Amino acid sequence: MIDETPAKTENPTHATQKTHFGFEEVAVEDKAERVAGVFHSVAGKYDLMNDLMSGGIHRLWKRFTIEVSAVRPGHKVLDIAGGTGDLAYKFSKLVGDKGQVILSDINSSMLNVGRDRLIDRGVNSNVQYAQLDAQYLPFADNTFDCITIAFGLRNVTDKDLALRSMLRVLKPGGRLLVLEFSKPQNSMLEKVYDQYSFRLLPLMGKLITNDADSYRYLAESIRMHPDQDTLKDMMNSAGFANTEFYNMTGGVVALHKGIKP
Amino acid sequence: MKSGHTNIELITVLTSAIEAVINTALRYDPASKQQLSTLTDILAIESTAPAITLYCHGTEDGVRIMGYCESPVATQLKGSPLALLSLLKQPTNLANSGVELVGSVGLLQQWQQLLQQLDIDWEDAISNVLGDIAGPLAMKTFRGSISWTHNQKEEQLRLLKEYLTEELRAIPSKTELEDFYSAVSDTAMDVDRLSARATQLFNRFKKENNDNKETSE
Repeated sequence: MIDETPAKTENPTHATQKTHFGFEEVAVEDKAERVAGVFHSVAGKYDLMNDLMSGGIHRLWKRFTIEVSAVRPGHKVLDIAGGTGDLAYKFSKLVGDKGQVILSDINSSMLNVGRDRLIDRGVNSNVQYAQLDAQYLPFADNTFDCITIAFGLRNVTDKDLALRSMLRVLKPGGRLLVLEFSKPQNSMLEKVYDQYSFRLLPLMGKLITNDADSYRYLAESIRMHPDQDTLKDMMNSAGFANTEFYNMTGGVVALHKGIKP
Repeated sequence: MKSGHTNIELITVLTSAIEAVINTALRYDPASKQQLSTLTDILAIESTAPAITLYCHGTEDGVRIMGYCESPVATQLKGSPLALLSLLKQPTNLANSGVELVGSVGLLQQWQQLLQQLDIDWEDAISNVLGDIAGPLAMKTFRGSISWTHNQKEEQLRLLKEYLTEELRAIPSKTELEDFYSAVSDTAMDVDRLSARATQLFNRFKKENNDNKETSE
């Protein structure tokens, strides 16, 4: 399942806060637990489902993200909602022995799968692991050259808070890359995509992981996520400069880039 | 490749496929792979049709090929795919090659040298797939087939030449051509001699004519 980190509070402007969990309205304090339940459920077959659901295209989206990151030897990289460590593995090769990669996820099951995978692939010298909440990053100001969050931002309850937190820990000139499902740019594609998301995806989830609800949540959470321009505006509001986005697969997925001024 | 670019997946598929093929082959030529790790500067290859730019540099794991690059480019090559491929054969001469170069020529030469020295142990590669008995056997058969094909090609050319000259008489044989060229050469020399002789006679006649005129005056 191409999806990652949950978080804690959704725009806490009122005392009786409600937030969305897919199309469902839930209490803010319940969302993190509900999302965590989804990821505990799918962690074991996460990679298999990713390949099946995207037809392997998620590898191309991630490869392009790596290219846009412009990460070089010696850089410090934070991979938030890193899931099973696809990006962290590539970053560990690029930063070399003098660099550092932190693979993080709020969900312990996902982080365990990611850590095991990287250790099995012989990566251990320059990667550290951290279970953390994207809204409250436990790092000093101006720490990282690059931060990535792939298929995780839509599960974060207060996205603005998370973006500000990422800006704080980035070095000036550092870049944030947000890889996330977005809005298809073609109405025909959107209809096909809707049918696929709401009919086929839960069925695949049921057959492979015996958990249709988690995959129904995936489809619903994608629809609730801000579209390309809205997310770009959110990044600008958080304080990022030179923000831009790259649509992929007709806008099904978009990569947003922002630089810390 | 900015917002709304439609070829991101296509280019990414292309770069990952090329990279995978090269790096798989490099596993069977460790010396080249080690040499490649020193070529860390970016080489940009810009094809004019189709309009694609690929960026490559060496890493410890082999070659890295990208469709998007923000790092400084050390050498940029621009030309048609055929012109760019021809650079593999003609090491350093870019004159009339149809390829424009911007930046360091040294980096290009290093890449060309590496490509020409490439010595991939295909037998090892095949053996890893087919095993230690079938692998060498398959390679022996393959090498035999290549040799047989080469011999057949030469034999067919010889037979075709013989058929056209001796049976069809459609074209002259080499000996006939040589005789013809020799006859043409002899004729040319005879004509030259005749021309020189005529000129000499004409000059002599002209001189005698002038002498006679002076005597009569």
